[in-house]
Amino acid sequence: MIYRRKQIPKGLRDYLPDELARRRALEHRIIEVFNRWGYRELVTPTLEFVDVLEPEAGNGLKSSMYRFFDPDGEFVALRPEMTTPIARLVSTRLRSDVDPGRFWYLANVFRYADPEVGHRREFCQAGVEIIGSSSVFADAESIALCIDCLDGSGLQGFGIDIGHMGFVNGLMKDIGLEDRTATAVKDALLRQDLVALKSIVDELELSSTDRERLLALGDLRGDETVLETGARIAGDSELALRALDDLRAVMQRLKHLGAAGPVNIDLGLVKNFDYYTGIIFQGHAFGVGYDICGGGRYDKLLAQFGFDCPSTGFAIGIERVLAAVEQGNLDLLTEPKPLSCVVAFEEGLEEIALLDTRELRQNGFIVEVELDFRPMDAILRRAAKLGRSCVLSYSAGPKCEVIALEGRGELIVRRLSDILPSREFVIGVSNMRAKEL
Amino acid sequence: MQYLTIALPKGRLFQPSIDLLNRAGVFTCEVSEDTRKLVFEDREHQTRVILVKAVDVPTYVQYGSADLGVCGKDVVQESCKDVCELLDLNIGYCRFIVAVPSSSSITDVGGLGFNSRVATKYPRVAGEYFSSLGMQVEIVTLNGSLELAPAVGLADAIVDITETGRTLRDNDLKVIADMGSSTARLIANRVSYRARRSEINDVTQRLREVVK
Repeated sequence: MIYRRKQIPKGLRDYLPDELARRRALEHRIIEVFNRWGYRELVTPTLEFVDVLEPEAGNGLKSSMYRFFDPDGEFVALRPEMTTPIARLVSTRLRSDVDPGRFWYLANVFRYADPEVGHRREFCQAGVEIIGSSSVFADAESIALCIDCLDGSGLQGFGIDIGHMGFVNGLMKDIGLEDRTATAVKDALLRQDLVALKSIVDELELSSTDRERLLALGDLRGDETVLETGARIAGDSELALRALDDLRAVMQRLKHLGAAGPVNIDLGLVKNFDYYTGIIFQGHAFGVGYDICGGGRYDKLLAQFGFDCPSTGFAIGIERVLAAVEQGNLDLLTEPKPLSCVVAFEEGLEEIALLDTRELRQNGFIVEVELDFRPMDAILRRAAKLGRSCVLSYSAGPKCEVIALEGRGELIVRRLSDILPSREFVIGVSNMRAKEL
Repeated sequence: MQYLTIALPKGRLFQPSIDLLNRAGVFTCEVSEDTRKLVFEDREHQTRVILVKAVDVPTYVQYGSADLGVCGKDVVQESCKDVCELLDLNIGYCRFIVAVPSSSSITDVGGLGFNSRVATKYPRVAGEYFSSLGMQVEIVTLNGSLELAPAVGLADAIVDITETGRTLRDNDLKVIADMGSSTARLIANRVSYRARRSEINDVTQRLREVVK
């Protein structure tokens, strides 16, 4: 349809150079942290068979997958998250690599949801999966690595809440809730709808102790002392008690890893992915109204692909962290900018100009070549707009005029002469004009 | 520390909610709906109140422009915003109802035919209600004066909220179904509820004590 020619589908967006430069800087910082912790990268296809993505896609996700028939008549979907594709890949191709396998990814995922605050239909996730270890130390490593990534991105004032599926589940089992009620309770906790939690509990015929135990789930958050409160309401539930042991061990490990600072325990935490089985966590940042990262243990997911193997991991929402970082007015582009220039030449001088261009690029200069022989005014304006350090103008035989745009003429000439000792560089006469730009 | 920002709805819930905040000692400065001022600060309690249209309260809260908000369950339900519901404030009680002209022979929702048109300010709530009954009706979204719709033949029935049922009677409408009740809720931004838990819990607790 012609009238759509200038539009893009709802919930998607373009990225322009300035914003992308900051976003890439953020991605590089995070990737660098992944690499420093010894993780290796995986890439999976953007499309997968629905059969792969569906079995464990959580309540919310199933209906929000982009699904369609490809030209071969296969039922495929755009991946709504990366954990399931990686589980598929590892269970089929990397079975010998899970001792444990430490993998990272940076990929765009797609969810067909109403675009609103912080939700887009295509967004980028950076994450890791630790596959093949059932130890809580793997969970602690995953959380500490996540915190290291957020620290590395320069984000300040973020918090991580950790919980355990076993606590909520164990407690509900101990009280003897039916599956349907248990789902309703978890849903209320997920939405943090304490009014709904209370009305569900009010409708059940429970002893006053059990009533209090369920209602307590709404606000069991804080430092390690919450574990003691948790122990009091866990009763005899082995599942819940084991969950508390896990959380205690994770907190201990996080302290040793120097990562306990931003962490709170929330025993009522639940997640909207059905595949989580143990420790779970999520992160938020001051000033942005939604979660920026989340993850947890999913010991049963790989078994769906015929490979029974415990795993844990997390994903960080790149756009969300970027929004949080920028809200804090932090500059992601702290790397010193290399010198950059625009090379312009008169007809007949292209040979030496382009020879120099190659030499300069090999020596770390960023070099753009003027293509249209435009007047020097236009070239200077453009160079200034893009923040280039200088314009090199080849117009008078072997001499090259250097027009510095940031007033570092002498220094630039020295650097240029070091790289190209046989060329004579002079501060250009146009320098006067450059200052007026 | 930053002020805790509370979004209050203008209109019928305004006075009861400001009374509650006053009695709870959460915000005790004078707030008037009649001035053009929309932001009020209480230095002593470190809280700020912003006045917004009732249907916009969940939006301000979801985006984190307000940490807390007071708004009717009807509005929360219809807006479908991702916010935490902390407390039933027990004010602004009303019922969601389905009504038809008094002269109609229809006595329950089952009596509405296949091609019935239902006018409402709550298209989402109404749509979910009818589809939960397995009924297909055409929902017509209006922004006010719903009572008029059946009278002029725009709709066969209306879905609306009512406190006493008087407006319905005055307009010759009768209730054929009660869809449940609604009261005002204290809602919180998801991240604020975690990042500023102790302050918010303090406010919730103070309010809980004054809520009947």
